[in-house]
Amino acid sequence: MIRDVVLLGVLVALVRGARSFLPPGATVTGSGAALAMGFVVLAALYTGRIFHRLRLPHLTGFLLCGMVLGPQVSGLLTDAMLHDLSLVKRVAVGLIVLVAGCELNVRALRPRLRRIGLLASGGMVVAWLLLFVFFWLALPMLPPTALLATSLAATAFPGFGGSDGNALVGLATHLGGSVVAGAGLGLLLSLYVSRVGRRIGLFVFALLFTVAEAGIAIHLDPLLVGLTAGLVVENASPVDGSRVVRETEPATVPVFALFFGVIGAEVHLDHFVAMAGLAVTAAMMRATGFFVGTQVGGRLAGVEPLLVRRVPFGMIPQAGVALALADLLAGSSQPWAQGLAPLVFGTIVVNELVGPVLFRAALVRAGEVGGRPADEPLPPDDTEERELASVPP
Amino acid sequence: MLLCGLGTTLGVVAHLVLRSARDPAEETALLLGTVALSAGLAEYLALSGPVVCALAGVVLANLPLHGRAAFPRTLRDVERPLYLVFLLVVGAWWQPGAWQAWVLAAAYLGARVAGKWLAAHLAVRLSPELPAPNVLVRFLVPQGPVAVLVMAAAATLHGGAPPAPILWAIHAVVVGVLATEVLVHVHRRRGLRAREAA
Repeated sequence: MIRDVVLLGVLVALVRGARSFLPPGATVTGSGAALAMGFVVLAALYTGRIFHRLRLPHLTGFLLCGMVLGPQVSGLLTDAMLHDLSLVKRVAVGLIVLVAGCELNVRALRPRLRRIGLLASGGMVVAWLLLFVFFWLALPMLPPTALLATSLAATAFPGFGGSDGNALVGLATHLGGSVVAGAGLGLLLSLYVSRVGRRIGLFVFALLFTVAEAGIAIHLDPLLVGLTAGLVVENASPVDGSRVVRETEPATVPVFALFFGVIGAEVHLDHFVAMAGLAVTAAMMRATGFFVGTQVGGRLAGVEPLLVRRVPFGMIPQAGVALALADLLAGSSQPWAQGLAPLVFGTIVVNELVGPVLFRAALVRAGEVGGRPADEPLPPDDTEERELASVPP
Repeated sequence: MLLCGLGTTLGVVAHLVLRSARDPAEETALLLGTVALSAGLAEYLALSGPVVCALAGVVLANLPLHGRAAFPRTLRDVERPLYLVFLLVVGAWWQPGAWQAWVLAAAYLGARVAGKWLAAHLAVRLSPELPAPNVLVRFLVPQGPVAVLVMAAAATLHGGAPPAPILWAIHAVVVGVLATEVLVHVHRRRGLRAREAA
């Protein structure tokens, strides 16, 4: 761990040294986005490793690393750099959900679909109701500065927001178009995998870059496109989605590190601190909703009470998809969304900090990890896999 | 001086970073991060990215990477997609519409072929054991990616809008690459046909 800390220090010193050659805010060529990209990837990876040693989630490390390096704290990353990295961010969103879609095999889940459905929907419905009431009550309490919050605004949903007085049609076109484009993309990807079968990772990235770039022009949402494409590959084509996941795996580590680092850097710390109390309360409401809802759902599904008690721990962690959705919220042109986005980010950060720890504790108590004997022991050091497995909602 | 210092420092940092990789996926991520950081630092300080990265590469290649036997393979795996993306970017910059660009391309190509032809004849005269000049010139004329890379680096120094002379130079270099490829193939085929006839 000391070596990681030293290397992180060396990187910070190197970038700080380079930044000292120019006055703050000044650039000679471009915004320095390439510098920010390399720096965030390396710094986030080392922070993730340090957090791993401290038995904390990698993703929390990535987020905190971005927060510390960002314009609000150390200022090593500027707003212009972060703005220029928005394309990479959109590609990362597409990749996260594509991988999530490729891992969701409905056929494999079918025998347990009713029980899973009742447990999950019970938890989600109660959590949604509690959070809806909470956000409804909390909205007037948000600090006025929150209305100016986040530098993420207006990167997604360009043109959406009802400026033409037909918001519902706009929304339907946006969502429907994204789903259709995603289905097409999924078919194209499965065709490529089955016919060509080489350099799949590169092909996936080329597709995601195209979607990320063209999506702005034709109002496509990379999140919906990627998720639909992944679901189509895994469930509606002869191609095995795990192959796509495996082939893209080498590139996912830097992309995730960059994405979460940038998201962390974009969080406005003052708004975040101002809303810390509300964020903790929202996280508690959500957890309560899961506990109550899974009790109801579990009873309806006839699941063993011991299992029902442990299931909510697996639902608490949040990560990629939730952050991507919060990012969309921040990009919406609605004033209430601008105010709510920092609160949602804060809630996710709280869940991300506490969730994996609780999840691991539940796994240890269930005897699936740690010292207890178990029927099917898992590798002892699987925090990251659990964490990534929890990336879908 | 700054160029050499930065290149050497980045080479040492790259060595330390890559030595700390624990698995191939992390090695790829660290390699990508190191390359982006090196190129980004050079660009930020308005230095030549290719030169800084080349210096860093020389330092990295000459420092021991114990237990990282798979590193050259990782490097190759990373290089190819990046190279394709690079060519794509250069293709996007290619504007064959301006007449000045075509004049520059013709001059560049002519000078390059003439220079290589002269060099081949001179080399054979000095070292008669070398292959015949017509054969030797076939190996000398094809153009590597470095010329394209240098022009692309010059374009990036101007952010998203390089000035017209740089765009003409990119055109000249791209035409040079394509034309020399065609010339070499034609020349090689002629040689083969002549050999068959003989």
